[in-house]
Amino acid sequence: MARVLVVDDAAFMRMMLTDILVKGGHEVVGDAENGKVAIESYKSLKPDMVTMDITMPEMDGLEALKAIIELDSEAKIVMCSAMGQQSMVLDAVKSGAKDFIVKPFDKDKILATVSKVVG
Amino acid sequence: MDKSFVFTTSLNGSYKAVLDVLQEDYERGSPRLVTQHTVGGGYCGLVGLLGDFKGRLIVDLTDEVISRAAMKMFGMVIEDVGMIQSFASELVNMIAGNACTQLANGGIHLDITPPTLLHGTSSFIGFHEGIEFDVFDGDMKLLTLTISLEG
Repeated sequence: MARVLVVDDAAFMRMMLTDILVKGGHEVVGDAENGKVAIESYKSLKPDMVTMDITMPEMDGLEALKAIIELDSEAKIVMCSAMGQQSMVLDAVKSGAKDFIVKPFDKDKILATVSKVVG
Repeated sequence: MDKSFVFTTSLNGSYKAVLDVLQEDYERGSPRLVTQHTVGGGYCGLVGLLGDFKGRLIVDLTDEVISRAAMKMFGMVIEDVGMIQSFASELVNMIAGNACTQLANGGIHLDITPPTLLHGTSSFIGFHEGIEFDVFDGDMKLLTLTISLEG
């Protein structure tokens, strides 16, 4: 079981990801609607992993990824975005993301990725 | 960047994105060159495009396509109005994000802004030029997608 922080600006997607993760036996310890809130939530909650959207208001997911990796180089962050072009994936992986899921996703893909990343 | 290349690549890439996101083989209507767009009264998502060209991607969604997409992706009917709006906004984000991926494969590199969701009747006027198409299931129109260029 992993303790997961869910980051997405769409309330519906936070709800669906939470539902998938909880039914898959994981605990969602918090959620955040933008990168700024995600960084603060990461500091206070210290989750095992983070699912991180990219296109968000206030601060996008790539900026938040870099900031969290600066705080904790061992942070396990999986990007979960509709933007799947090679340059975006490469940028995320070079910045420390452990994996990249392109939306729309299905629950099997989410749960398989969590298992792979958290171990 | 050559305008006809931008329009052709945008048309093909955004239609492929719609099919990939909706996970169905819907038909595309004939493309139209436009300089304004009137929103039909349902939900309409507006996404800014930045990069090799500057513009907007506008998607008019019917209630039918929102319901179908929720059922296809998550096997559920969404009844709460707030969640319908959130899902509609995310659906537009998915179409725009996937369109950017398709366009990148065609040599056009773009980033997108978070979507703004509108509801009701409105008109976008005065953009430089745009290309627009409808997506159908048989005779039923499911959505209209517009890509406008600024300047």
